[in-house]
Amino acid sequence: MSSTAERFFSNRTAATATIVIGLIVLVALVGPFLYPNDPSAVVAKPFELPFGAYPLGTDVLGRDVAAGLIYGARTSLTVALVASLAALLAGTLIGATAGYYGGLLGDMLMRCTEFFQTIPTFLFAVVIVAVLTPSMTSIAVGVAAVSWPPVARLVRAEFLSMRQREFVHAAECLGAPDHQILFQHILPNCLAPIIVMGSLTVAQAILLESALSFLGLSDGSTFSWGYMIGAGRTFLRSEWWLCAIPGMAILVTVLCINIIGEALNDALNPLLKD
Amino acid sequence: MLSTLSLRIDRMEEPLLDVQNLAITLPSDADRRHAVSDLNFTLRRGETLCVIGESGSGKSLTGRAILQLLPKPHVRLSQGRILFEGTDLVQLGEAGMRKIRGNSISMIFQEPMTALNPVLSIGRQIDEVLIAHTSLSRTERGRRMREILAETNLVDPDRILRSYPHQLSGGQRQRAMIAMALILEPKLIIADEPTTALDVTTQAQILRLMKQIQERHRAGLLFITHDFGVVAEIADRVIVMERGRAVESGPAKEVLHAPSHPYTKSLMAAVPSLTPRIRDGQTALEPTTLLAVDSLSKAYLLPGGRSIKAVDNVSLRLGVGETLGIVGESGSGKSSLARLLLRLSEPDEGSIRLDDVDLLALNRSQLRDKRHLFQVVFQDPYGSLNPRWNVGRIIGEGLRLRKEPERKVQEKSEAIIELVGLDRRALSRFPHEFSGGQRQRIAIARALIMDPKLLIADEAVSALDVSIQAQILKLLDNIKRRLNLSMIFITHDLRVAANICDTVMVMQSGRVVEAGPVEIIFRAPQQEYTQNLFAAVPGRLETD
Repeated sequence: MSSTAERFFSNRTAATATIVIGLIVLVALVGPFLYPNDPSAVVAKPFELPFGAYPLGTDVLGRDVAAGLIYGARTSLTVALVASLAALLAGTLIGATAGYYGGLLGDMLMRCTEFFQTIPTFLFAVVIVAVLTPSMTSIAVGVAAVSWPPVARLVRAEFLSMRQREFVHAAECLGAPDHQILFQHILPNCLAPIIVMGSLTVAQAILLESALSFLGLSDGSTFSWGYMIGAGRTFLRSEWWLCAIPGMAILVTVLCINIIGEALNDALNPLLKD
Repeated sequence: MLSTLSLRIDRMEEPLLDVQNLAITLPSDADRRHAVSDLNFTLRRGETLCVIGESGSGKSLTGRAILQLLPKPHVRLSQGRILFEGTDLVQLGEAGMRKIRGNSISMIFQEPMTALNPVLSIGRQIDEVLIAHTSLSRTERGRRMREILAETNLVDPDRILRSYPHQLSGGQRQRAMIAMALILEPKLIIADEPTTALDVTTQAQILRLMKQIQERHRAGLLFITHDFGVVAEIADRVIVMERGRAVESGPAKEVLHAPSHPYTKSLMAAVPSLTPRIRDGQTALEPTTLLAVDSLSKAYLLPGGRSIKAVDNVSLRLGVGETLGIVGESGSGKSSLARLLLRLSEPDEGSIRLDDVDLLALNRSQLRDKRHLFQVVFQDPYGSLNPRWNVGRIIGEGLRLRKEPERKVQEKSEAIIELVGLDRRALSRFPHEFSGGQRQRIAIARALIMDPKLLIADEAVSALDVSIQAQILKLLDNIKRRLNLSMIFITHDLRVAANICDTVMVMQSGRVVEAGPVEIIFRAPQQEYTQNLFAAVPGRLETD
């Protein structure tokens, strides 16, 4: 396992991306306690320029943009993480069951997965959030609901091939019950692609959450990066930084997570070991 | 007089291939510095030189070094000259080598399925060789391809040319590979274990074919193999390699009949004899029946909607302490039968009674409680152990599943790991730290710790080197005697079957062709299929 870490961090870009993500997570965790201003409080006149009295200026209502960014990081990251974990869990369970048991059960689960996959992702998320009334929970549910099908298909393929491996047959011959074979024997051997998929799902979830907030499908009382871009878009031509600043935050975060995912893929791939 | 004359002619003719002081360096973290060192040999036109050795002896790297196909930069040629018709291939450079590869020297690999491109038709792939090295017109190329395929005894060359690799059988694929290697009439053919993946009967045909073609074209053949039988069949001269060094070389007859180096002797002694061993006279007593299988059948549905009978009406009896060998070629249904006996797949009809329990009448949880009675050792020592578990956990799994106390699991694991000839410290290590033979011992330990009454070994020694194979066979035989274990030994290797079995069952396309005591079946096979199978075993050795 240590050699996996070594291979991961020997990739300079991946190491940098990890540091950047670490900083963003740190800001999201402790920022609200250290930064004095409330993001929804009106603190000055609207459209203050950045690097003045307020580090990133103020928005249309005179709210502190920097405070919004810090509190927004919390929302965006929490929603993305919760939604991705839910999607991974659901996708893994469904994929594992379909791959291991196969047959009619497997076919039914996969047809169901394909059904979800054929609905346009974003529209589906919009519908779910709109029906459940916009809130952080409903956004997480919406994002998770559109993110699990690719995970399920990946996990199914992995389990399908692992199922034929001799050590799995050997465990069956020892009288191991199904849950032991599924979660003790097969799952640990499929973890590498699942972890990589998970990291990419997080990046996808941040984008989805931002897009939903941008459309106004968000909890009005919680700040998120997408909400800030949505609020600033009417002034894009005169006060462009209101969109550009949270936009940059999204860009950097998603880019870093993608880089980490790619690097994990390389580091965990035994074929590239040497 | 005649021999001195021919000797003189040999001396006059310049060797086709002259390898001098060859050394191949391994990366610094390998278990030894040189894969090959101090290797010298020559090969003349029309001659077959066999390089024999166990895995890791450097025989395959030698073949690749000649074509300058070493996996650089980790493995590189550090010393020596490879003179091909007087030109040093080491100094030739990549552009010069490209002209020689395929054209003057060609290579045949072990597994034609991976050596051929799966998405191009055979015709396209052979055509590519011709386009790259000749300026023949399209019609001439087509004629040449049909000629060469006919020469490799492939019926209906036109169909073969249109086919994709997966549409052909293993033997047809290897013939197509040979055709591709020969189409430019190379002066030297390097064959790296070309028959290892094939059934004995197909192997015999391919060996005969290669010999014929080589004689017809007077090409030099460098044949890399691990099988002394194949050497006896095809070689003019032999080089025996051990850990990168040639320990013995000479004319095939001399090396095979009077090996001088202790390593060669030990290798040859490890090859199981085709003559069944004489068993201690307990066979007269009829042992009590442990396993009774009656008219077992299993059909699989093919994609086209047809079905194939993988196991067709098979019945067998196995007594306590007896060993039954199931032999047959690939596709004969022997592994499908094993899966049925292991209750890994559901039979369509028939019955399996083990120790007077009807295994097919049990529900899932009842079956789990009975599974310890019949255990298995699989073929692939790399695939049969969970790579993420340490050996202690692997071996103890069965007992822990039966809710045995941890103390007892520990004690028994330590006892069993020593029984199979490993150190108890092995328990805390992971499978990848062990060699193939050691892993197979771990797999045997995992099976034996359950105190089974029946052990099913599915090609359990097929992936091992002969010397390791001999050790594992001896281990199994010892254990069988000590524990009065019954065994079903599934193998495609008749020598292995002769070595360990009391009774033998010969299978062909799902059916039992012939069954009986090993001495009788091996001495006087009644059925034509069995006779052909025996005739195809390569190279009769001294011990047979």
